[in-house]
Amino acid sequence: MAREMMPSKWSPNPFSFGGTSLPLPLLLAAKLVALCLLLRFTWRNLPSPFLPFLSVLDYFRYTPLFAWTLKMAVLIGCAAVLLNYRVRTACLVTGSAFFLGILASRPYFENNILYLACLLILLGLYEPRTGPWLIRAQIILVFFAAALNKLLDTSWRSGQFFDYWASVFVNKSFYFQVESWLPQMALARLMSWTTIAIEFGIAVTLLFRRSRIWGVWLGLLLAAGQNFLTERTFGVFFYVMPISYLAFFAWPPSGITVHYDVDCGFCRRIHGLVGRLDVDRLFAWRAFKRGVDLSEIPRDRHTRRLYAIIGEKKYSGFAALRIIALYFPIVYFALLVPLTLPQGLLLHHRSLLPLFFLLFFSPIFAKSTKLQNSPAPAESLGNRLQLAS
Amino acid sequence: MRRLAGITLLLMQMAAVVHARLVPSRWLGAWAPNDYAVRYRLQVHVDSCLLSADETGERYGLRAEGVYENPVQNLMDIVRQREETYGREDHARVVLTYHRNRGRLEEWRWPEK
Repeated sequence: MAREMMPSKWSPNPFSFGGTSLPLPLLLAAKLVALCLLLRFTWRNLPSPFLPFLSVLDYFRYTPLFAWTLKMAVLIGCAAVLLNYRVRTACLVTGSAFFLGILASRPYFENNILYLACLLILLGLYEPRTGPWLIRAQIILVFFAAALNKLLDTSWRSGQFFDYWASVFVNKSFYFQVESWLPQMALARLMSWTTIAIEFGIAVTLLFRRSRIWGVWLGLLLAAGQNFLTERTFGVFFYVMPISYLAFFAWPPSGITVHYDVDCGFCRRIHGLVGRLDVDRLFAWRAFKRGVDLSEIPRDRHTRRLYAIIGEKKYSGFAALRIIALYFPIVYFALLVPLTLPQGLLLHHRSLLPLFFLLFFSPIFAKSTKLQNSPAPAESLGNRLQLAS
Repeated sequence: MRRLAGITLLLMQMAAVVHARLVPSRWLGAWAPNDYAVRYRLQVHVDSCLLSADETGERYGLRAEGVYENPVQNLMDIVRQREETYGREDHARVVLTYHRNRGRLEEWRWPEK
């Protein structure tokens, strides 16, 4: 196996994303997964061998050390990922521990744990030459296979499965209210075929660059919808699948320039907050006074506003704030933590949070305009990350 | 080398997806997450004694009854493996009663005839 590149300067800051052997989106994904595993105590259920897939593992059946070794491997792997230490190896170790746990026990097998293991293993096998394509292929394969399995199942096609499954797991009364308004089995059949179509749609749209964003949105809506209807997380699927969509995106190589009005108190607070936490200097902040020309923004368009510029695209006001949030890695941690809290702590309204987050990042707020004059080239993101580390 | 290992992992999964079309169970790499709803109950007799729900759960690593979100064949595989390995000397008699999606009640017994 290729020797992992050592960072030029190791930074144990969990909010630093430079100087490791994984690019920012994949490192962010790995850290979010690691945090999820820790907060959800997923590592606690790793089993001792019991009815293993591989009979040779029965040799360790009465060895408590087996399960403890797996648990320690996951804990140490998660810590290493969060602290930017040999991140690819750490992902490989963590993923392999879960995979070995599955092989050691049939009752322990769950698709969400297997997906977690595969994702971490593939993050560990990342090579710059291949890019993120192994992880992208994994996601596409899962959705394609899941959709195919449903399509070929008569009880899915007829709606019979969804009709029964909803009676057990859906806990929103409005669903059953709507069901009572429609002919028998109509809603179940609609939900079945919608799920099949969405999963196929995700698999297909993720294949192509132009349609990728739609695939990601479909996937996020599917996860949020399932969680809203049932308040279930399906193990770690609800967290890990959306996190893995980061493999389809790249941070702007030229970085993000943010112009803010010094007379705007809100803008100054945003600058202060983000500036303090932006360890890798992903954002270049430029203060302006109203009435002073900026090459990117005509004087007559100045208001008490924020402007975010990525290449030739300019965002202002709330759209700029949204873009800052989208490209600020710490925001993802802030989104994840409340979603991992027990339902009771959020008064059983945790399932509303994903819908709120999706609305905030919704494309309806994504209006951008082209710059009239191209900005001076900002320091490249790659350089900033090197320097930051 | 890393790329080759990753591709191998994906190819194995593709093979599992194809294999899943030929068998009733859905295990590693078949990727049928939560596609099933089987309400089941396990009743186990060992030495003519009916095991309690806790004892049954401990015997198979599963609840004695509930809704299982994998194919019922997976349940049978677990019971079969248990009784053919750790429980070989117990000569247990197992009755798995289940229905799929409110369908007709079905029964599977171990030992299988």
